[in-house]
Amino acid sequence: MSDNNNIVLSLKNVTKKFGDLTVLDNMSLDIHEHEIVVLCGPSGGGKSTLLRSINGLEKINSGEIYYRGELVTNKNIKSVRSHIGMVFQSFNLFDNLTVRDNLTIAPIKILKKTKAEAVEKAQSYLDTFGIGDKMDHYPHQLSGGQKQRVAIVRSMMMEPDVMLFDEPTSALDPEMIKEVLDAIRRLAEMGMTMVIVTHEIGFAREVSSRMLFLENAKIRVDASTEDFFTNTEDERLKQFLSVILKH
Amino acid sequence: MTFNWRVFQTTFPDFMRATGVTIQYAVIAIVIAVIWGIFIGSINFRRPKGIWRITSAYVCFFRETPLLVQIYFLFYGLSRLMPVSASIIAVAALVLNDGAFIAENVRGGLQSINKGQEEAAYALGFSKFQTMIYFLIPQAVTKVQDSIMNMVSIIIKDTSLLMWITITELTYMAHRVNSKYYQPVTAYLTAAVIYMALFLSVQGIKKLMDRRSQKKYELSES
Ligand SMILES: Nc1ncnc2c1ncn2[C@@H]1O[C@H](COP(=O)(O)OP(=O)(O)OP(=O)(O)O)[C@@H](O)[C@H]1O
Ligand SMILES: [Mg+2]
Repeated sequence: MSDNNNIVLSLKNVTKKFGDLTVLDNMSLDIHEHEIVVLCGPSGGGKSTLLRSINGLEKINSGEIYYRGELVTNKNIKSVRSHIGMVFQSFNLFDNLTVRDNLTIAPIKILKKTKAEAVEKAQSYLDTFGIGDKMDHYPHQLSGGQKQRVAIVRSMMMEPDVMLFDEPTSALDPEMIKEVLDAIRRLAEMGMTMVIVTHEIGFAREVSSRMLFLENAKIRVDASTEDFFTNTEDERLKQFLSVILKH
Repeated sequence: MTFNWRVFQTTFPDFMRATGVTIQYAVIAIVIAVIWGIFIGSINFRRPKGIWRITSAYVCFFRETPLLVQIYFLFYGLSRLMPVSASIIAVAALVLNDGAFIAENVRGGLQSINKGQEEAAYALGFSKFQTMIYFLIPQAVTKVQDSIMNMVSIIIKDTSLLMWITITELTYMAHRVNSKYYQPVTAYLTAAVIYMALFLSVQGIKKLMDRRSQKKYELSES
């Protein structure tokens, strides 16, 4: 695909278990700069666990994870995390803070930006995503779609190298899904490297460059988006797609 | 037995001074107890190995034993170990007792915050400590704000037990006035009315605080 210099994330033989249950089975995976990788697969396949392991929200049992060639350890996890944006299904905005503070606290406290700098940047992102008037609102005053866009901006404020999305639209009413998908399309246009778990298969096909099919703790299919949808030989994937495309 | 206005007038300055003492102990104790309670409540929420057994045993002991026993225990026990004044013992007893209740409230408040916000903070690169300070503790405190204000009224009443270790607070003064003039109605009714006035002031402050936090939300509504 491309040389090693532009590998952002690299998993080598990663195994994760919950008790006796193996959720990631000796998994290896490279994510390159500007790639947009969509993870799909049946429920319980390990998609969330894979994303959570990448930024250390889950401790892996064995194997290694590299960020830009550097082994991720307990020591550097905090700095690695500040380069990896994560967007959750349930938004997870800080309820005690206004949108302004939700967006600026991490750049100010972690990246040591000035407040003015951070606020200006926050405003410009909010404008881009069509919620420029929400600066002084609290999370409970926003719709789900607005919350998720704020959550995306919160991650973007850290100038991340890569963004991880775990079912960003699954908790949303249908009429709000589009506004969040549009926000992600915007990031794609900016050239953001992304790993996205989603069941929005039409969106996945349109936006991704590469598709992964995860089942039973393994990556069963890893293909370019084109091949994934048209040339797959994998019976399980065909079955999965036929079910999901019917919806 | 009736209310004796003459005694009331002559002892009123004494009562005011004693009220000052009561307020002083209550304010100092509640301020320290809130900080102490947040600290202990956070430890009992995080449960760091070893330490939390001690802190949760402390909370259990001070919540489940009578305050007067604790006051005597500290007064006779502590003062044997080191020279401490009755006023230090008094503050310590109030802080340890009410701090234990606040700690339990804070722990409950912390536990009721959804795990997702904590994970979002870690994902941004915040440490566990920063996450507590910036996100979890402020939310827990907001949740327990009401019960902390109730604690203020409780502390004011608790200070009446300090008379047993020679603190010249309001109840002590009522006692002294009564034994001097043999006017229990005057002495204790005056004290009771003052306690009531303190309680109503606390309620007033609470209302103001409620209105302010409501405003904070409304401002951004439009
Ligand atoms: N904290 C946990 N403790 C125990 N088991 C867990 C935990 N988290 C996930 N699991 C289990 O690990 C397996 C993989 O879960 P995961 O959430 O990664 O799947 P997923 O592919 O994201 O599924 P979904 O599409 O439903 O979100 C599941 O069987 C799940 O029950
Ligand atoms: Mg999942």
